Amino acid sequence: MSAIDIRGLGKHYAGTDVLRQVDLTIDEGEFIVLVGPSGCGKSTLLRIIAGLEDISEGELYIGGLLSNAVKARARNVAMVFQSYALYPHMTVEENIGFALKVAGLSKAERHRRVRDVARSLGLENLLQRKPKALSGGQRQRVAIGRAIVRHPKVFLMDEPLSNLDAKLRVEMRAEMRALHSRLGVTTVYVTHDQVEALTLGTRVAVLRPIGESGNTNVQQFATPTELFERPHNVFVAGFMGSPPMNILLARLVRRGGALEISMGDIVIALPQAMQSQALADAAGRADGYIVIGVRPADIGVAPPGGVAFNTRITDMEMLGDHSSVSFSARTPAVPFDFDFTAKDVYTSLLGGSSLTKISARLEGRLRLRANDEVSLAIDPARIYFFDAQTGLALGNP
Amino acid sequence: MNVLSAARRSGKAHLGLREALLSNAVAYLFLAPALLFFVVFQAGPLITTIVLSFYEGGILSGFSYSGFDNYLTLWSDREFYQTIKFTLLYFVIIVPSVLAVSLAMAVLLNDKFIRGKNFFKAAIFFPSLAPMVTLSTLWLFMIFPNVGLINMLLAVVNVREVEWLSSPLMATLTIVLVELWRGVGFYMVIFLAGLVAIPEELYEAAELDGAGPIRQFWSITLPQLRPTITFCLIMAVIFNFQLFDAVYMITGGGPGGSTESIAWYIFSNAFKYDQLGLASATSTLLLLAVMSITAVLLKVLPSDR
Amino acid sequence: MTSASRTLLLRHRPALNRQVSRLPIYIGVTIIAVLVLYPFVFMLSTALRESTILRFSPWDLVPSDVTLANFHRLFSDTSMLNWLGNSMFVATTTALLKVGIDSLAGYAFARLQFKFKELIFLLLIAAMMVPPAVTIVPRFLLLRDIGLINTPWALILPHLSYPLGVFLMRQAMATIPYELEEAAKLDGCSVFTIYWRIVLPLVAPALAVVVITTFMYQWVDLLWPVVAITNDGLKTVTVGISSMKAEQSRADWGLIMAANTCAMIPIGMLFVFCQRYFMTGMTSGSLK
Repeated sequence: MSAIDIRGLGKHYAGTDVLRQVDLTIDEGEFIVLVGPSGCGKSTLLRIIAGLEDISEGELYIGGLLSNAVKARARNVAMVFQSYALYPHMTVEENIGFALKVAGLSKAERHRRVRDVARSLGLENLLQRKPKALSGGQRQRVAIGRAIVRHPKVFLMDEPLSNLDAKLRVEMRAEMRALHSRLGVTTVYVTHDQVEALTLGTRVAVLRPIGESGNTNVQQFATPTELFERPHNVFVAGFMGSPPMNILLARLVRRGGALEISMGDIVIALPQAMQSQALADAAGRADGYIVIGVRPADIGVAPPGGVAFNTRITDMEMLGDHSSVSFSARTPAVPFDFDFTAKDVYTSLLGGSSLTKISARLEGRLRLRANDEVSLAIDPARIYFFDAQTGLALGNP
Repeated sequence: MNVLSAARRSGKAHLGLREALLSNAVAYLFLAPALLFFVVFQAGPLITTIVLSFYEGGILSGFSYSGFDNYLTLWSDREFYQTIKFTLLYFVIIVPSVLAVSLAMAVLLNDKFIRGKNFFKAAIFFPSLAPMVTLSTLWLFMIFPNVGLINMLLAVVNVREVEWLSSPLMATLTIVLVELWRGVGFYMVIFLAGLVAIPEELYEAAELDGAGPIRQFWSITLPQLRPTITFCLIMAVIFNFQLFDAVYMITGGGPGGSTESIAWYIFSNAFKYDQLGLASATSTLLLLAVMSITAVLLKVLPSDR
Repeated sequence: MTSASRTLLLRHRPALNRQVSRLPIYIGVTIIAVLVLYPFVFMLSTALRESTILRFSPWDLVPSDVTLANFHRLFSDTSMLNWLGNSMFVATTTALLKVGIDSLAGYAFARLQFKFKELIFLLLIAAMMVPPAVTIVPRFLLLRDIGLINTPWALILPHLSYPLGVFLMRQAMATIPYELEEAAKLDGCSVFTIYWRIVLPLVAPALAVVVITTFMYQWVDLLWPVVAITNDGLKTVTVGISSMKAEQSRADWGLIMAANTCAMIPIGMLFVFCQRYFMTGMTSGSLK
C-alpha cells in the first residue's frame, strides 16, 4: 500500500488552473521532493496533501484512505512551514507539546515525549524560551520538533531551509537526511532549489507552471540520478544541474554515412554507435533541426589528436582546481522553460543574429585568459538530444 | 502564485455544498451574540424610531397614528427653532476651535527636541477621560462668583463679575469651554499619531529647499495630515451632535431655552413631557442630519494623502 | 581651557541653544497643562478640607487641615457607596461580556467565510455613526416592556450592541499570520480551539483596549443612565452626582468635590496604569 496516492488531481482558482492532471504515487518511507520554479503549483500540492486547500478534481489517498473530504486536523500529517509558524505566545516546550495537548494526552506523557524530541534535536536547554528569543536555526529545529513529536503518518515541509544562511542550510540538509533515515516517516518536501532536491530526495518530482506546460505540472518523477542522467525533456534537463546545462538549437547533418551535429561554426561528428533510429529520423526531417544539451562539465580541453573544435574564449573564471570558461556558438540558445506546446522553435528562435554563450567547466589548473584560442572537445556520448518540435528526449545516453 | 494567494486571502475555499453550509453555520455561531444584541438594541430601535415618528403621544397618553403631524409640529415649534439655532451656533464655534487648538498643541508637542513630551501629552489628554458630570461640576466651580479661578484671572485684567450663565451667548460659550477642555486632549492624541507617521525626510528636504517652520506647516504638515483631519472632523461632528451632559449639568437648557441641544430636546420631550412621538420625529431628523453631513464630508474631503 | 573641554562645550552649545529657542513652546504648553489640571487639583484639595467655601482663595491649594470629614458625610448621608458599587458592577460586567462577544464576532469578520459578510459589516459601520439619542425612545420602551428598567441590566445590555469593539478585534486579528492558524489546524485544532488558544492570546493587547474603553464609557455615561435608572439606590456614580447638585440649593462644595473625587479614582488608576491602551483604541480608528 502506498503512503500517498494522487490521481488525476486538479486545482483551479477563479478559472485559472494551478494544478492539472497530477498523478503521483508515493511509497511508505520515501523522501519525496517537489521542485520547480515559482508558480509551478508545488506549494499548492503540498497544502492539498495537508488538507489546507480543497481539491477541485481528482482523488487523494493517504494510507489507502480516500482523503479528499478529510479535515486537516484528522489526517495525522505534520507540516514544517517556511516561516516556521511557531506560536509566539508559547514556550518551546509548549510549542512542541501543543498537538499532544490538543489530542488530550496526560501531562506526564506530554512531558516525556517533548523531552525526548528536544534531546534528539539539541533543544533541551531552550525549552523555556519563547520563539522570539531563538536564532533562525533554533526556530527551525523547534518547527521540526513540533512535527515529529506527534509521530505523524506523513511529514510535509514547505521550503523549510529557505530562511537560513547558506552554511546552516548545508548543515541542516545533512540533519534532515539523518532524521529521515532514523524515523523513516514518509516525507514530502517542497523547494525551488534543485540542489536540495538532488541531495535530499529519494525521488524528485519536477513541476512546471500549468500555463506553459500543457497537460500537467509533473514533468518527471524519478530518482535524482535518473533525473540528472535521463531528463525527460528540455525543462527537466535545464532545471536540474548546476551550473545549468547548455541547451542550443543545432542541426543534424548526414555527411556520407555518418551524422554530424552542426552548431554554426562548430561541428561535431557522432560515432557510429550513437546513430540511433531516432536520430536518423530527426536528421531525415526537413531541415534536420534538433535541440541538444551539453553539461558544462562534459566539455573538456581536447586531447591531442581527438575530435575537437577551435574557439576563442570570451570570459574565464579561475575557481581553484577548475575553471569556468565561456565561448560563443553561432546558433540560438533554447531557454529551458521554452513552451514547446504553444510556440515553435523555428519562428521563435531562428532569424536575427543568434550568438549563444556556452559555458564549460574545465578541470585542472589552466592558464587561460579571455581572447585565447583554445581547442575544446565534447564527448559525443554525453550529449543529450531533444526533439525540436516537442522538447522531449530522443534516445538519450 | 498571485492568483493563488489572492484566492487564499479572500478565503474562497470550496469544500462542496455540505462543508459550505457547515462553515457558514460555524461563522454565524461566532457572530450570533453580537448580531443578537445589534438587532435588538440598534437595528430594531432604529426602525422603531422612524415608525414612532408617525405616531402621536407617549406612555401615559398612548400612541395614535398621526402621519406627518409630528414633523409639522416641529416645523412650527419655537423651541425647536431655538434648538437648531443653538446647535448651529455651537457647531460653528466648537468644531473649528477644538480642531485648531488640538492641532496646534499636537504640532508644538511633535517638535522632536521638546523634553517631557509624554508628561504634557498625558496632562492635556487627562480631562477627556473624566466624566462630563465631573468636568461640568468643576467648571461651575471655576466660574463661581467671587471665588472661582476664572473670575479671579479676569479681575487681573480688570474684567469684573462676568455673568457666565445669564445671557444666551455667554451660556453657549460656557458649554463650549467645557467641551474644549474635554476635547482638546482627545484630538491632540489622534493628531500626534498622524504627525508621527509623516516621514522625517519630507521636512529635511523642505529644510534644504529653504522652507521655514511656517512654510513647512502649510506645505507638508497640513497636506500630509489630511486623512487624520478628515477623521477628526467627522468624529467632532458625530460627537457634538450628542451634546447632552454639559447642558444637563450646567445650564439645564437655559436661559430661556437658549442652550437646548438636540439630545436635550429629545430627552426632555420624551421623558419630561411624555411626547415620545415628537421625540422620535426629532431623532429621525437627527439621524438624517448626521448621516447626510457625514456623507457630504466623506465625499468632499479626500481621505488619501 | 583644554582643547578637550572646548570641544565638549562646542558640542553642547547647539543642544542648549535648541532648548532655549523652544522656551516659548515650553511656557505655552506648561500654562495649558496647568490650566487643564488645575481644577482637578482644586477638586482634591476642596474634598480634603473642612468645607466653608468662602474662606479660601483659588491659589490656596494645599489644605493645612487635611480631613476625611467630607468623605465620611458622603458615605453616611448619601448613597454614594451604592452608586460606586452599581457603576463598578455595570462597567465591569459590560466590559467582560463585551470583550467576549466582540472577539467572537471580530474573528468571524477577520477569518471566517459566510454569506452576507460584507453587507453585515457595512451595517455595523453605519451604526457607529448613529448618536445614542436617536434610539433612546424605543430602547426605553423595549426595556420597560421586559421589565429591566431600574435594573443594572438596562445599562449593560444595550451597550453590548455598540460595534466599535468588533472593528478593533477584527483589525487586530487580521494581522496574525495565516500560517499560525494553519499550523494549529494540523496540530488538531477545531475552529473554536484556534480562536481560543491561538488567536485570543495573540491579540491580548487589543482585548485590553476593548475592556478598558468599554469600562470607561460605562463609567462616565450620563444620558442613558438618567433615563433608565430613577431609583436612588440603583443610580450610577454620574447620575448620583448630578442629582446631588440638583438636591442642594445651597451647594455643599466639600461634599460634591468628595463625590467627584470618588468618581475620578478608577479613572485615575486606569490612566496611570493603562494609558497606552486607550490611546491605541482611539488612534486605531484613524490609521486604517
